[in-house]
Amino acid sequence: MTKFKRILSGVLATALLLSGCSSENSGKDGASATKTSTEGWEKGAYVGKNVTPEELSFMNSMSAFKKLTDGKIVAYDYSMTQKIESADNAETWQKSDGPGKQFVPESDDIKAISDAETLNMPTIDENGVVYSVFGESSNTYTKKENWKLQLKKITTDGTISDLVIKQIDELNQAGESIELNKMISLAPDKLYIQFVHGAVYEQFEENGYSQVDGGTSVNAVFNPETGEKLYDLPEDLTYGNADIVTDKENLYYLSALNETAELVVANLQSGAESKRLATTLSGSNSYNSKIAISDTGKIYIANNDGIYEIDKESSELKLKAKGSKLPLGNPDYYASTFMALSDEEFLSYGYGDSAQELWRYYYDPEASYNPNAVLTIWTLTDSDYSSTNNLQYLTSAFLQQHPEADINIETGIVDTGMSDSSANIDEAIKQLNTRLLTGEAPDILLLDGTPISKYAKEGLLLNLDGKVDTSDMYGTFGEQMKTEKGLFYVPTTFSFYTLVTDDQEIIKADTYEKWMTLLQNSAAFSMEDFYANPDAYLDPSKTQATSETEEKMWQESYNLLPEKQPVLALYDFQSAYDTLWSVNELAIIEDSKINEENLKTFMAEVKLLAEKNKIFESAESIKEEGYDPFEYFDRSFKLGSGYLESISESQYASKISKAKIAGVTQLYQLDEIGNGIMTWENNEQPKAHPDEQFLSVPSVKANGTWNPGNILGVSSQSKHQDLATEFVQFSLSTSMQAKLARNSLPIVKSAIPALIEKTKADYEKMLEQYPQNAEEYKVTFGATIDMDGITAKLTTPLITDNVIRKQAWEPVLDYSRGKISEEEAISKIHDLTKIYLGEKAQ
Amino acid sequence: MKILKKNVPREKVKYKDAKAAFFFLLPSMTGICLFFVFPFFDTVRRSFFDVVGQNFAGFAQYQSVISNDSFQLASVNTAKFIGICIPILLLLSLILALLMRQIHPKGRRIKTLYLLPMSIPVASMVLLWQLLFHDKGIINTMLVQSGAESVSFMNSGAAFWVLVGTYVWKNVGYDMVLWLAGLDGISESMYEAANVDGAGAWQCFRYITIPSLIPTLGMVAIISLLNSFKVFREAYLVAGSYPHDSIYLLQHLFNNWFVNMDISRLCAAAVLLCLVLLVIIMLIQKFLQAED
Repeated sequence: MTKFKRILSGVLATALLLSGCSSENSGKDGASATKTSTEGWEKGAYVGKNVTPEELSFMNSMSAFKKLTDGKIVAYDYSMTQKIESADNAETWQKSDGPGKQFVPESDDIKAISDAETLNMPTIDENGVVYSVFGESSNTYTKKENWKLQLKKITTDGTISDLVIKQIDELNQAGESIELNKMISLAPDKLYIQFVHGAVYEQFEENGYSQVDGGTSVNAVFNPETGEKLYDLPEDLTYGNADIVTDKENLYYLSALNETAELVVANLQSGAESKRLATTLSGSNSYNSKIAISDTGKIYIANNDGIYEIDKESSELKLKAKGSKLPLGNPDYYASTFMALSDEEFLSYGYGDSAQELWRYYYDPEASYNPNAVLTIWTLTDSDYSSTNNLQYLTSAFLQQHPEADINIETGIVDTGMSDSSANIDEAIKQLNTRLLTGEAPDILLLDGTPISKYAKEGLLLNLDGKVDTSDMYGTFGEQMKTEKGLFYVPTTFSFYTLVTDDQEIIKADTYEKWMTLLQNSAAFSMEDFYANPDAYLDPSKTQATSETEEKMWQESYNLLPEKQPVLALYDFQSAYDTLWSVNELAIIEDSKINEENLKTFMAEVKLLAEKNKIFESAESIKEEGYDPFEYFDRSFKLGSGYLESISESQYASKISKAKIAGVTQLYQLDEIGNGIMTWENNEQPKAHPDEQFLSVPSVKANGTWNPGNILGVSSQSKHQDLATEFVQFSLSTSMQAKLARNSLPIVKSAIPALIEKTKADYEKMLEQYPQNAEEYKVTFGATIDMDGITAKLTTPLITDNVIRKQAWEPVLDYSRGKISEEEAISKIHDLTKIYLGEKAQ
Repeated sequence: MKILKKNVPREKVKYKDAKAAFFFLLPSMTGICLFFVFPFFDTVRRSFFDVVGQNFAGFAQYQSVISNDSFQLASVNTAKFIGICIPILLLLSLILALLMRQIHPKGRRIKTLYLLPMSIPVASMVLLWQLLFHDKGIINTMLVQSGAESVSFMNSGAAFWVLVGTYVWKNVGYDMVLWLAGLDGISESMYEAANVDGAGAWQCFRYITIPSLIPTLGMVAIISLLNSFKVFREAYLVAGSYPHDSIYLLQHLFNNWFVNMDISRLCAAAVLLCLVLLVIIMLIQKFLQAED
């Protein structure tokens, strides 16, 4: 037994020794894929080539592609004004006028062009014969007299004749409404047509219709020669993206009606369904998937995730080409056409970076890649669309520059609708922490929602100081991100609460005390009072809105007498609370303790705002009706309450309103600037109000709080530190930041000018081809917001887990309602927050 | 005395038996070492180092933990919870076991029903809680309808009693089964002998049943003590990471520190908890030995 005890002691001692040798931070740089040595690399990968023909008109959308029996590829635009052909597998193209060009009037009159009856919705059979609609494809809404659905057949020599489909002809004779949705040529003697007849809609306003009768849906295959219906197909094909491919024997399509997609196989001759196989594609993924068939009869599917071969017998998906390594992985890329030129070559046409693009994907045996250079990027959740979209875009773009590498994105919580529950978030973070502690950490972390400061403090993140250049960031953001020990995390976007106004009195209220005085002296506004006695409020010298039409809402609004205008119109207490808390949090919580004085001041501000807007009074009864009670007042207050999503929207506001305008907002979108040519709302042009200024929301302690977003960090345990660091730097590049600006505010200065220059170039290119648009679609370009000036005032980054904000909510609400006293509210806040703050205290 | 082999010394036989036993025990011992013993030693080690295990911190983490307000609150709550729950549970389960023994043996099948609460999944338990104890739940509705004021069960001190009730309800069946096993182990002849000597029911219980149940008491107490930590799951799913003060337990603190990567303090607190439990268990064992 003594010997046994000695053995046991030895085992335990060994255990102690071994546990002392647990995962250590090597602190070494991992092997880099960017070193010039290609030792260990492998060859053979799918690559993509942009084969968009220069002949393709800018913004001209090619609608129908087909590979003919003679091997040529032919395509037409939607109106068949243009035809492009390729005899060398999409390498080069020849352009010619299409048979539809004769129907498009040569005119500068946009209305004349858009009203003309033209060919549209073409589909091509394997011999090059085209079937098309002529004129409008539907009279469901317009109910034009004597309208008939006209179908045409265009032979390869350009001869146009009527295509008679008996069932449609009968409906035309009967004068029924018809809406044709889809035509797909399956074979020279088989044409799939999907339409709805007999639907009845009633018009309730100028552009508003409500359905009275949904009509009868027809999904059938017809013989274009005889016009006879051959057989019906199920409703699976009614959703917009659905497509059918055929070999000589069967037809194949993806059904996305259920949560998981199914591959459906039916007999081409009879339409009888022979198989319906479940796939591993989710419903939403299959909705965006395109199907293609090669000459050997293999079926392929393409979506953002990649190109897959689908087994016809088992429906098993085999990945052929990963989407993230091709432009397919660009979340902006929507493929309207996908063809299998062979079993190793594919053609995809779709909307890419602001233009239609044609890409050929093929297997290149010489393309080399490093199988060890696989970066893992971890993100907490995929429920935030803009964040997920940004990450996917960055990944796709980075891999285009680094085809030798690969990136896997891991998500802590997959969005199931409950992803914001704290239990799920905690579990995801705990799993990440376990990996960080055990040396299995991802290479790159999207740190939003995680204990970033702790990771940095404990050496779990790589010091990026000197490795990532942040000099192009706005203001002093780069310096503000640094800690004593270095730079451990880098935001790629940001947001901030702001006030926008041209009211000089408000502009001068640049301290908290002045702001409070302004609020106290401002008028209180009651919706009920207004509706009870509008004349007492409305300014008779200015045009007033009516709420009859949306158009008028944008052009006019209720204009109040200056003395009746409240400073800030907010009916939503949550908005007021969140805005004011965000800029005051660092003053309220100091050194893991509640600063009571600052808390009192914050509570007073919230309460005053609620009182001035009578949030708990008049707005309640109106809110019950389910719409924003201040909807038509947004632009008639000194400080309106819009939730402005882009800088240019405030330009609309300032142009449209006759009164002084401003808004409390969290600005994060610049899509209107980026897509300047699309901002033709009611032909109003965006124009900055000359005196408009952006102000920080006054805070108790210091103005200028801002929120870093989409924060990237590199794990100190990463084996690919160089590549990971390069990814972080890449996300701060001008081109990438300009792309991120679609969903967020870019953090580097050069992004907005680059975005404007690109949009301007696209616009000028469009005008070259469509000079008639020049008069109609005038756009003013240029950054009208002084971002440098605004961001220079943003000096306090706020990274918070929002726990205290949520805990303090109810006492502050009760205090603002007058249910409890100030002392009671503060006492409750202390009680609610003491555990959290106690845990943080060192 | 059985001689296994001629002229083989007794010590050598014992050593052979021990060696065989050791090898039979090796697989389970390996598992225990891998999943409990080694991680425990790693926890102890981490409590003296920083998160990445490079910088020695000495007893700084222990000082930080002991002086931390949240740790103190959680410790008091946990001690209070155990101090109230365990005696109630032991007493109630013993009474149920004694009553169960009075039922005709065939009726003992209903004891299985008492185990059902333990088999209810945590998620279902949480739903039940919300159904019963929500501000607009069944209990509050009944209270309001009867003219009484509603009670905020989960946001007031009442949360503690909800937790106690849940714990006792879930575990009473299991403990009752353990008591029954202990009671079955008492020889009937002792009661018969006591009856012959004129002992009444209470005297039998006081001088035969209770002393005989001492070993069972020790086991039930230790198991109940360990089970008391599992009530955190329901509390966490209902009330989140930062519940009302009264139900803020040590596991909440550990969970939150782990989420916030405060690993060193977490390990220090875990070691302290382990030491306290060790002392308690040793005291229980000492008490049991003294009673023996």
